[in-house]
Amino acid sequence: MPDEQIIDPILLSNFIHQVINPLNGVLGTLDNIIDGTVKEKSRRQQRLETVRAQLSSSIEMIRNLAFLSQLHSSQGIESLRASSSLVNVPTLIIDSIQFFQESGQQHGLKIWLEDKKTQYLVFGHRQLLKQVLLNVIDNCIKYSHPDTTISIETRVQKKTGQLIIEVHNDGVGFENEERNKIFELGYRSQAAMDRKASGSGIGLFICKRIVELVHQGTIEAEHSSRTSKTTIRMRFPKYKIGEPDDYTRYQSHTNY
Amino acid sequence: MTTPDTNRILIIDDEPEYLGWVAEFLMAQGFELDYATNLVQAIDAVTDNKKYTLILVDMNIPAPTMADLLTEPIHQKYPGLKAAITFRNQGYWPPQIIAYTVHDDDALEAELNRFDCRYVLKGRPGILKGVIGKSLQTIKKKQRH
Repeated sequence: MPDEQIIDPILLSNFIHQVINPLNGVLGTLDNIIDGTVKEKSRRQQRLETVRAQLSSSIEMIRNLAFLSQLHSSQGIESLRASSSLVNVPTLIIDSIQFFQESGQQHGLKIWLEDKKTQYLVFGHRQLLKQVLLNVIDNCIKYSHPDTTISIETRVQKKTGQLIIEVHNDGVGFENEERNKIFELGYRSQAAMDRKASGSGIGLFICKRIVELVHQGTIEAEHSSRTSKTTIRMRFPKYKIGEPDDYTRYQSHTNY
Repeated sequence: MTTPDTNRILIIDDEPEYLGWVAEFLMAQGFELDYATNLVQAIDAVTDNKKYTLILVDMNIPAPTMADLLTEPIHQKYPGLKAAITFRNQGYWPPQIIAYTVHDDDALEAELNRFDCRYVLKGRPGILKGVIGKSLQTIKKKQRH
């Protein structure tokens, strides 16, 4: 239906705010380089790297909007499912961590994958899975206390064969009754609003749709106000290739 | 006009990581910078016996634990506006306060105009630099007299 609104105006206004901020940073820095405010060559190089990170961040934000539209229809979801393949999990996580190198440093945060050796595989859509990790880590960066660590754990649950990815951070979180609401479109916890005036309210919603609708997994969140630890936990079902008994989804090798 | 006792500028923004370019521009002119990331910090910074040469204030800042202060809807929407008005009431002169925001909002502009505060849209760094430059010139002139 052409008149159907996917995004309400407030959500769109928040989204615009979120995209303009980094782009404003990019423009301002380029202006400084052009007009000679930044004189030293080494400083120029450093500022260009920051600009690059801010541009990448804006692109990922806009990409969320594109996914939002694709994930809105069953046809779109089917076409995303059809592009699935085996994805190496540690490589995916390390790529995502590297994306935030610059902004992590700016906030005094270390981002860390606990187990880099075990080569877990997941059957999924690589770009979408990366988008999930980017959105989750981006949230952690925005709401972590300075000089803390964001750690990512991976494991396979023996009983169910599910692959579990957990992202932990130490920062402002949410009340327990909000734990499901934070995945709703446009929802922001009070603690988040106290830290940042606006957020797109799209990132975690996209994560939920990608994990649940495209990968038949689950995503959940928990936060302890006592320890200020937040965990986002994703579970991906065991994948079956070929015959019913041929379960090869989570081959674990130390030498991939 | 509040007479600055140092060469300091206060930047009020909840995402200062995107304002490295403003910091660079101001520091190149010899200014030292303080930051506040919400309304509470902003009001504390200005009442802490510090006199700033200039205050840059984003209209969209969080206002934790200050809901009681924000009785008017426009202040709830733009807590930075409340900060700007508070500074004006403390004796800051209009050129010493530069408000900026992503949103082009007539109601906000009208409210800022009531207090003679300048208002710049985000995403136009050249304009913001120009306004900062003019304000600093006006402040210097005033200080000389």
